[in-house]
Amino acid sequence: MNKNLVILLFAFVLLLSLGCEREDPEFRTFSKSTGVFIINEGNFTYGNASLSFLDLTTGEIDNQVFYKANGFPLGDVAFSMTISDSMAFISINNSGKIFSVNTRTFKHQGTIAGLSSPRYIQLISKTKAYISDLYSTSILVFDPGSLQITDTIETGRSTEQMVVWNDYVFATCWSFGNEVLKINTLTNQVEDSIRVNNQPNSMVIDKNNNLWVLSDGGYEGSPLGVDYPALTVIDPDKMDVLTTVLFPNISGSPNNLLINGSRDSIFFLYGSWTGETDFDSGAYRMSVNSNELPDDPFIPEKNRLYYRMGIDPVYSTIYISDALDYMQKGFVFRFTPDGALIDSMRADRIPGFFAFMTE
Amino acid sequence: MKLAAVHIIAIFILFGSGIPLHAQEKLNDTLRIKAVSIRGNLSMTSANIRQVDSLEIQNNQGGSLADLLAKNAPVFIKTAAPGSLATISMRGTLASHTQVSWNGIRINSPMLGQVDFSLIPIFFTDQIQILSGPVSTLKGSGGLGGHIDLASHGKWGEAFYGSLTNTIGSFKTYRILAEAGGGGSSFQTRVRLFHEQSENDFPFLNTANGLFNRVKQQNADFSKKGLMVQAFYQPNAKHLIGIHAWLQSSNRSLPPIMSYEGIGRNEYQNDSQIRISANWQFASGAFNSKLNSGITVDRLDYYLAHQTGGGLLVNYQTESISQSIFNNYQGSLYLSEKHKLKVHIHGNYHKVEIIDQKSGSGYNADRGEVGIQVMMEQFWTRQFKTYALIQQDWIQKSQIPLIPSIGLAYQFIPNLLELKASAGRNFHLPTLNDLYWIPGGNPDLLPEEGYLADIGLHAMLSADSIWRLEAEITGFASYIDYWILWKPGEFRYWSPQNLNTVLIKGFETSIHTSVQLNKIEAKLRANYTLTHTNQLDSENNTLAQLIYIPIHKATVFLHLARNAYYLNYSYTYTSERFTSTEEEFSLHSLPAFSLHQISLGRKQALLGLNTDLHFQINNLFNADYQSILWRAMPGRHYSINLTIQF
Repeated sequence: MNKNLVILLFAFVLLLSLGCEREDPEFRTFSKSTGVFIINEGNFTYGNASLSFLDLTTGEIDNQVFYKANGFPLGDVAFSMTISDSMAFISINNSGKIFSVNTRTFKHQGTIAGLSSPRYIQLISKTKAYISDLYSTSILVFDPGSLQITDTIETGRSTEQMVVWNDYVFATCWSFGNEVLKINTLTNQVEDSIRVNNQPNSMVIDKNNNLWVLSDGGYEGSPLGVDYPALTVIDPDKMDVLTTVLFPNISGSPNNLLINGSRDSIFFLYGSWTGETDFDSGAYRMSVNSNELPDDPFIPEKNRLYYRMGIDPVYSTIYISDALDYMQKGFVFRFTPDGALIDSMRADRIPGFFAFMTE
Repeated sequence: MKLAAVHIIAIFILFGSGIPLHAQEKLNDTLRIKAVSIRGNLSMTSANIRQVDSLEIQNNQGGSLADLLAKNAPVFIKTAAPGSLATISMRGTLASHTQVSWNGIRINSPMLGQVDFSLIPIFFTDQIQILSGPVSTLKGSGGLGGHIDLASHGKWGEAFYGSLTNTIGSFKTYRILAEAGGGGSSFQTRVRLFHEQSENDFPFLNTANGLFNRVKQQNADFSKKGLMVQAFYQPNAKHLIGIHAWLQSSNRSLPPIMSYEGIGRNEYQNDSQIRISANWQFASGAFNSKLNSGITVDRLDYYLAHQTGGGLLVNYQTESISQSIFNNYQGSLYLSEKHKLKVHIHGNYHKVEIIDQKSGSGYNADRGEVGIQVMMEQFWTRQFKTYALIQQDWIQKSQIPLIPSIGLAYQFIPNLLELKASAGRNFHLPTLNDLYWIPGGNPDLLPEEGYLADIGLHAMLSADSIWRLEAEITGFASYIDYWILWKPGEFRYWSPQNLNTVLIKGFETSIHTSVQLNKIEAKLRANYTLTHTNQLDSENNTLAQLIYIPIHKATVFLHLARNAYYLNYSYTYTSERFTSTEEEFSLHSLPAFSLHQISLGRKQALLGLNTDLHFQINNLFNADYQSILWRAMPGRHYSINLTIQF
């Protein structure tokens, strides 16, 4: 009895201990030339951010290309991507790091670790780039070649999107902020700032060399308070406000201000914080010579939920993502510069930022 | 007979199916009243009430209810790390769909609706009943998945007793359990204390950072301490008065996700609970009544800060306090030999205050609930019994639709084969966070509405007192409408809505066998659960399995004892889980995992004391697994445990 029981026990344990490992990922070698990177943010704290690549020569989208090329995930909340020749920098916001990735092979090249909450990477030169940060009250300066941090710009508040204009970088203070900073890239010093409506989230510079700033206004209950969303046109040289275009609805939340290749039309997404539908949500287009908001969306949202937008700098094709319920693969819709739907495809979880790789 | 025992185990291995528990299934809603006449076998009316075996409770004395249920029950426990928040899924539902009560009062958080099972020490519980599916209405409304009823008792008949348990484990884990109690025939007291702390800095292979290096878990330390004091007064056989106080606090650091390589972050959660319950039970002849009042005060502080170049930036510093008052009256009366009437009236009040000191946002809210339940049990014959109940609840003066529930038990072959079935409707109220959270709370939410049914067969075979075999299979189905889901509105703003319709179906099967031969005692329990939980679209097409709910779960528990020595072995299998609403086996799904635990012990009388020394190996085969996506779990680890009792 004892012996039998012991033998059976062993057999039993062995039987139960079989198997159950994660299958090897589908490792692949890539060699791409022209296409669009789609940064899938993933869910906050899930660590399921990923990289998709739309090959413009074949028209096919490939998901999870970073994992397939490297065997490990991007991390938690991939936020933006900046391309410099064959190198791309991806900020992984809630993992506190930036990955550098080869744009043709998608191979991981290096990591800038030890960050707080990186958002955007702005290239200044071959040896200088800036990192904005949601939590940190400084902008970090790094060398894109060596990935070493070379300087720190004390901003006193957190920073979001950046644009380069001559020897200056403009940075928005979005998170509970209401300013745009002007930073001298030669000295890495903040030289000036200007107040705009609450929570400026994005900027562009138009063909007239005017700086357009889009503020979402914040939300009801925010410690900063709530403001009307606005487009503010600024003279970047004198740092004067030229025009302020207010949005009519205080619960509206426009974001993702972009400009086309010829820099004569701006685009933005406009919806509501609360899901109210008393205005037409969707993608809007507006001439840089106008100071009135368009009445109707250029690409109506209809029953979709537009999340982020990108515009191809060469072809002016418009890319808009729909994250659906945020718990499945989101859609990417492509539109002609005139707003006609070209096609749609499934990227991965919460498709956000678009980065364009040209030959 | 030896051969028979071996065969039973061999058959079990071949069929590899599941467990357990069905030892004493009594609707044990009374404490310890002497000389109460029991008419009929109440187990007949309980289609799916399982009482966790005292051996399993004893074997998990140092652990939490999360550990015990994960290893021994047909439920799924989800946890981000040892010691951290552990939530339950019963019959394919969400954590808030399982109601939990202790000595007559609900301990679900009114703010979140759920219970953190890692904060319920087994040492504080003497009886655990699992009411799955429709029968949960026997304990009130809200348990769309089920109800777990915990009870802490006194030890009548012992003039003075005490025990001390010391545990030392891997990752600088230390635990002390102490109890003392005693009294006479009419008065008893019992005091229990526990303290546990762990650095919890287990090593793991980090496959998420590109380095594939072996690192130590950071910021996962915890400490927990608790005190339970109970006093019982039984002036005569008809009355029993009990007062129970359970005080507990815990401090837990929350570790970062595996891919984190940032400058540093500090995240922690501090919980404290005060639970006081007072009961008066009266039994006389055919009449039995129980009056219960209680209060709970739960405090939860959450803190998250990130290091920045300019110092620490606090992101959240949230303080919340939930206070509840409970009043229950239950009366039961045998109207005749064949009819038993039960009435249950309750009036509860909840109040929540939550504020984020960082942003200044938060909410204050309260809710009153009253309800009445009437239940009739009918003993048609010795083999056929039924029950029917109806409950009416009012929430903040608004009436919830009626909750009816019925059940039957029929013994095809007396004491051998029994059919059990139950069905009913149930409602689950939105939590106060669902209603009032800023931003996004939706005060217009409706209660979730469920239609639940199950049917099962229970067989029992035994030969004298030498061996015993019980097997059970139960099929279940639930249709839940107005399922609350937090969804993004346009742009970043999440808000709960009564969006989904969910269909849950599956079955639970269990087997339990025990053999007593000469000096050897062997017990084997196993169970297997199949759960399909699918959202339905507007045309009632089945969509994907809901996230984090495994389709298959199996557990096995084996106990062997000979003279003073004993060996316990437990096995848990959890199948692949999706973390996406697409049912896709991809990087968004978590691989299946198997966990093994073994312990070897010796019980001995020494200097008039009873001692129990055992050594335990957890995750015996060093499985690399995740319970939550990209959250590290420990590999093989050990503990040694010494208990001294008098």
